[in-house]
Amino acid sequence: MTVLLQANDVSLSSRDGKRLVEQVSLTLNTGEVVGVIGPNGAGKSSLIKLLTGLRKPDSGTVLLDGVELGLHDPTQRARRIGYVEQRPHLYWPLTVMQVVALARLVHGDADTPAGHAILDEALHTVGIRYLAQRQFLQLSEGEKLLVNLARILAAQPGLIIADEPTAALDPARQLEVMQLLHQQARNGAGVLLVLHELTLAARYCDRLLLMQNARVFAEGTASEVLTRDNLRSVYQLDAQLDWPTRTVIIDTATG
Amino acid sequence: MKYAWLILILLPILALVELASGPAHINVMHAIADLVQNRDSVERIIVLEVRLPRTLLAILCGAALAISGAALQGLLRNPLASPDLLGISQTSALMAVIALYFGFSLQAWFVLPLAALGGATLAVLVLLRLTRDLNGTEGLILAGIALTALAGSLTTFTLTFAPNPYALQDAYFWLLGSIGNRSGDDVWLALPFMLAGTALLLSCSRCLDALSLGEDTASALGFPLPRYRWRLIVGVACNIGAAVAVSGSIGFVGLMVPHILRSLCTAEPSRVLRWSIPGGAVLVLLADVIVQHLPANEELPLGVLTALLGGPFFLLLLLRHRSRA
Repeated sequence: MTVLLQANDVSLSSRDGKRLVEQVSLTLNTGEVVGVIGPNGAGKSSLIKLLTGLRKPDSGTVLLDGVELGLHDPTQRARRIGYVEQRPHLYWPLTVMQVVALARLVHGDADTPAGHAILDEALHTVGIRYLAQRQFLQLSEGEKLLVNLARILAAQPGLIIADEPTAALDPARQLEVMQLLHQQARNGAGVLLVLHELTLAARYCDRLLLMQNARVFAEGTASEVLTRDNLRSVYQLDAQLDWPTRTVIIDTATG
Repeated sequence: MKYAWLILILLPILALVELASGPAHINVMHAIADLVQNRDSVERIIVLEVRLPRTLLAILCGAALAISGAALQGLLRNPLASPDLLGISQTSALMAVIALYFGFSLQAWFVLPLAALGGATLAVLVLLRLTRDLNGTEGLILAGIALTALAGSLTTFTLTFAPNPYALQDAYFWLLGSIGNRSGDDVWLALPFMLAGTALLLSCSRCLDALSLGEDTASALGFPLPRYRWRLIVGVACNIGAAVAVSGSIGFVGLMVPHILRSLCTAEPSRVLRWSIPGGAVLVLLADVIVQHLPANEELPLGVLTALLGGPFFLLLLLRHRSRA
């Protein structure tokens, strides 16, 4: 296992001084799926922005392949990190194929047979080849998410960072997407996901980072993080992880 | 790109028709033959000194205005953005008018285009600052209305202090937009700025494609906007500044051409950008041929015709945009 991404005590504040991320550290290795979980407003998406280089930390460092993220050329960084936004918005009426082809912009081979084969394979892997010539804007939210996932696969990055990749998907598709991301990790990529669905997090993530109020509340394997006490403190839920089935069973809400 | 070839066929045809258009009835083919064989003739002089500069300016201004519209729409990710609707042309014209009517343009040949370029840069910067706080299409259009009104009134205000008592009337007609009575000097004045501006804009074409998915995704795709923003601003300013300096304010070209391309060919911003060059040239050539053939007592300013076409086009777009929203 090689360290792909490493954050050391990173902090970030909003313009009005609100703490969004406070002294968070994490490591992502090759072949590993790490899940970032936590209630709304815990700082998960802000952390993702720091890890993808979209925002610079106020303090602390983020290292990609051992080199500070800001020192990487943007093109180089784009080849290494594939980022799926929470709610990506398309501003022009492009087809699915044209959207997925954006992944090859930095490679400059979208119009070549080799590039086309990569795009076609990405669509095939996600199972949306039949959507290739459809207008992206006319798709359902779930389908749009799959297209963006195909876009990430088409970039062939070593590291995939996705902000809620299963939101707006039906349960069957959620499982498919998680299996797909898991497979990418098994093929050698590092995968970092923000997830709301705790059962999916328990089932598919090798390690979890539980965030609350911009800080890391707990970190470790699912059984270490998804304890009754942690879930009560962070989510105000009476819930527990059923380890054999890796399912989070909610008894009641306490809050 | 199924209809794109049509543009490439129309361009030389319209250029020939433009060369053949004018008050004097001459045979263009004879003139071209004289030109090739280096024979002196009246026809050759008319074509070389009068009609060729006009044709070239139609092509250059059309291309410059259209590619600027396409670049602005891509940068702001707004289909209703164009240099004239956002007040960029008007601010550019304000600076050009100051340079023209207060004698600054006599100091050196590049003062006029540089002044117009400076005005355009200022306008784009103000707009970018405003659009950070004003979200959405409405905010952008309102900012454009404010900037247009301000630039227009400042132009009139400035001209009332001009040393030339006829400055206001002169400038009024100049601002309506025209490429008539221009010489080869005007072509040489605009060409370097337009070439530089177009090269800058074309170098951003892949960034504009990435921006289709918003600033964050574009950055994640390897195209951080801060790195390209200045190239786009200077590219638009060079094109608009040069076009305004030689032709006044020809409106709606930057709005209409990218839209027509999007409905006929493709919505990919890089392709819209590239095809706007011949597309804009075709539209302005066509409009200039029409104004020269209208049975009016005086030639209708080109900008008036493009506004007559573009105004309803803009309203239709606005309605369609609202119904979609």
